[in-house]
Amino acid sequence: MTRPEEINAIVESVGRYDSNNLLTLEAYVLSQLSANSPDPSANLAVLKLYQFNPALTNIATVTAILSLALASLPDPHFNLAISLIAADVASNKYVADLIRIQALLESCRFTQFWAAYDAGIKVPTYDAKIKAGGAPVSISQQFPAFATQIRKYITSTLGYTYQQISLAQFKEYVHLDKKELTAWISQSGCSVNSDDATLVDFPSTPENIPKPALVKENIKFEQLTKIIGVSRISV
Amino acid sequence: MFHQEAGVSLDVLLIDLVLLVSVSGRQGDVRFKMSNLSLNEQVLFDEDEVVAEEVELPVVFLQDDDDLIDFGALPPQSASSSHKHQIPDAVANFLRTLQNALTTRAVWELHQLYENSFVKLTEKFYAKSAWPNVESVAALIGEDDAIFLALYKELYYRHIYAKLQPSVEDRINSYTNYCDLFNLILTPVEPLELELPNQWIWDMIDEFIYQFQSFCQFKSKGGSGSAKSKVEMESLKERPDVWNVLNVLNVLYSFTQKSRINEQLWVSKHGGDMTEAVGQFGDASLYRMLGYFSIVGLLRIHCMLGDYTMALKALENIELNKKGLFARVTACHITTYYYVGFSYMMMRRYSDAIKAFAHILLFISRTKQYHVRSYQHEVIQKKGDQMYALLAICLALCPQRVDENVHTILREKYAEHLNKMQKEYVLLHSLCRSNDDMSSYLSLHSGDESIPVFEELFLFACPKFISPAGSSSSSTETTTTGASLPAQTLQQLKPFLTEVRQHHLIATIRSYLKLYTSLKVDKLASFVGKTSEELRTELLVYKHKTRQRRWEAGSVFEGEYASPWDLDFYIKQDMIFISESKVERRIGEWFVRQISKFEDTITNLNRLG
Repeated sequence: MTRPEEINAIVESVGRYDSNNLLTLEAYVLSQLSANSPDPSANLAVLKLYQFNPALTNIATVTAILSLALASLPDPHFNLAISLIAADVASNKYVADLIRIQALLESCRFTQFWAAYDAGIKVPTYDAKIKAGGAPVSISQQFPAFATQIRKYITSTLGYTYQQISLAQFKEYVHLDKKELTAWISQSGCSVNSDDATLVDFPSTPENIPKPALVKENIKFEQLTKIIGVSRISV
Repeated sequence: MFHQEAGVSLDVLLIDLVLLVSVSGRQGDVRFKMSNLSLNEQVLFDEDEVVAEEVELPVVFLQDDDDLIDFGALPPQSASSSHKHQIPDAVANFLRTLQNALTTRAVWELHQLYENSFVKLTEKFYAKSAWPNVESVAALIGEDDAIFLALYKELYYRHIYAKLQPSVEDRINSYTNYCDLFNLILTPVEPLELELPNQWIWDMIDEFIYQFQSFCQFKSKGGSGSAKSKVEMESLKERPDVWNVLNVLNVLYSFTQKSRINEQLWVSKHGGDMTEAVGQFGDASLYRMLGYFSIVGLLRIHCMLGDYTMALKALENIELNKKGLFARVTACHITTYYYVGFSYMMMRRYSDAIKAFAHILLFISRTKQYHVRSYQHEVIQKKGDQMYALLAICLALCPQRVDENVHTILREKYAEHLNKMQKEYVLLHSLCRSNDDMSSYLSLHSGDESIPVFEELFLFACPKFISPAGSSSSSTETTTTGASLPAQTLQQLKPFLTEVRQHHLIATIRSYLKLYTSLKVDKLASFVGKTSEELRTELLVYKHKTRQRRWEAGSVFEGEYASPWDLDFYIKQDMIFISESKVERRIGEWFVRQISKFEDTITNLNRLG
């Protein structure tokens, strides 16, 4: 995804410390939700401004940033964002909910994650004037691509681990009904096994066909200079 | 000869600099919102108020160790001694020579004066008291050499921080002096005709950040708690500009901009017109080094703020794999690798962290004999110990081979910690008579006994985190080991330990996988006392956590995903297939060492004969 020029100008300069730019940056965070284009490093600039000016912290932006960070798993953007979030913000109800979900995803408790997702994950709506966040809505309402992004992460993690998995298990992990499942399988590059329709094959990746390597000793010439220097070989 | 613009207000300077800093010369309406206090007002804090304290403190040169400075122990004494400092002849001579060397730009002489004479004179005359205050020095040297006096004052306060107890006035005045000094360097339209040894320049930037961090800590502790300190804390509220994080960052950004150091580094990496990139200021060694060290300073500050992404991005144009300017000053070299390694660790790039730590630890162990004589010996020693601790953490999370020398020292220092962190379950397994014993053992010790070890090492080795908002939420929380920690440290520790907990079965699974080339999921599940469903989850965790970004090329921040471990596997339905990479014995290295030893013996024998 490409970052708009005006945002880039702020984020890549000392403008990122200027709280006058906060509204622009917050708007940019929201635009990432609708466009499904997470820009974690630009979002860190927002968190940095909150870190320096705690009074400006807008919870709805924080939850939006964290949702976007979840969508960019397996990269650890979520933890990097948490490192910048003060304890009182992290203990906010909505933020704490996201932290809980992140723990499920990071520890591959995918079925538990979907259970929590179905039970409803609420995030506050953004309003520049309400720092504590506006009326809560479901995360999928605010960030339509959320579930798909998470499903992508789950599918790729499965693909690194399995060459072949039972369809029933796959279905449970990605949490889709039968019709959607068929579409998802082909969309994500997997395939139903041609001999046994109860199995799903993953495309080959370096991760699921690890090759045993033999690491050989590698002596550089520099290591031998001293020996050559003192050698008494007469020519 | 120096362009002095006394009384330039800080605001003017800042606006000027911000324009300089804004991206690619675009004259954006970017402004720092800074305090409105100008330097003129700051000068109201008169030098006479700074009084040396005749208090005995452990004589240690430490810049990064505030454990020594227990603010509660020694309430700062003020204005008890109004006597003028008598300057001993040796010191007066030193000051004159120093001024002369500065004026004539005799860098080698300065080097000597700075690294040896100053240290020796300190030991002799000022081990327990401050150096003569700047008024008495001005009386000796002359009032008009502003650069010299500002540099002297910087040394004066640095010495107070290192050996004495800085009072609140000292902290404020030292900050003011940094502003004065940096203004003198940054405001002239032409580069100052001044040259300083690299070590001195580095120490200045290093100290500037140290004092900032020390101030943040002082503030969040709420002073010493005495009635006097309460008054002092009140007086600080009137000076929000003092050691304000934005002002501190601004200084570092200004130096990097003024020296065009990033442009210079970019050109030297990618090619291009160097003369154009360098510019008038960047050509002068003083500015170039200030700029370069400021980059390392930014790395450090961002790391202390918990912003690991920005920390590594600061180094965008520095190539760690090549010998850069950072290697010219040992302390800078070590600082760079420490913060790079720590940032990698927090970004879950353990392989890169290990590489960084192993590299610099090898350097330290190889150059040991030089450090022993250095005035920074103890700082280096302590940073080294911290990095061994971090290396132990990373190796526990991501076992791999490191340099033999480094590994030997690591085991000397942290063998027990490492064993606890890596949990040798397989050994235990052979001791338990049946799988039932094993499962009950595992359920009793669900990997949690290793957490306190991780915590202990992390707290010993982590940077001093700061809370920039200065919210005096002096809330300290207690951790599992009962340590009482400032909120900002806990903020970093918590997610890290969560991460470690998620790793907890990986070592166990790994030790079993090592014994097989293939095995059933159910069988492994029974070994680790889990249901087959639970184990499948743990196997996913194994894959997810061991896959990490690794640096391959480009700036330090970049990295590609790879599975770095020597042990990997895949699952096909219910069967786990394992592939283990083998490392051949390192025979060549052993021979090289033995041959060298043998040669040495022969040389010694010949000498005797």
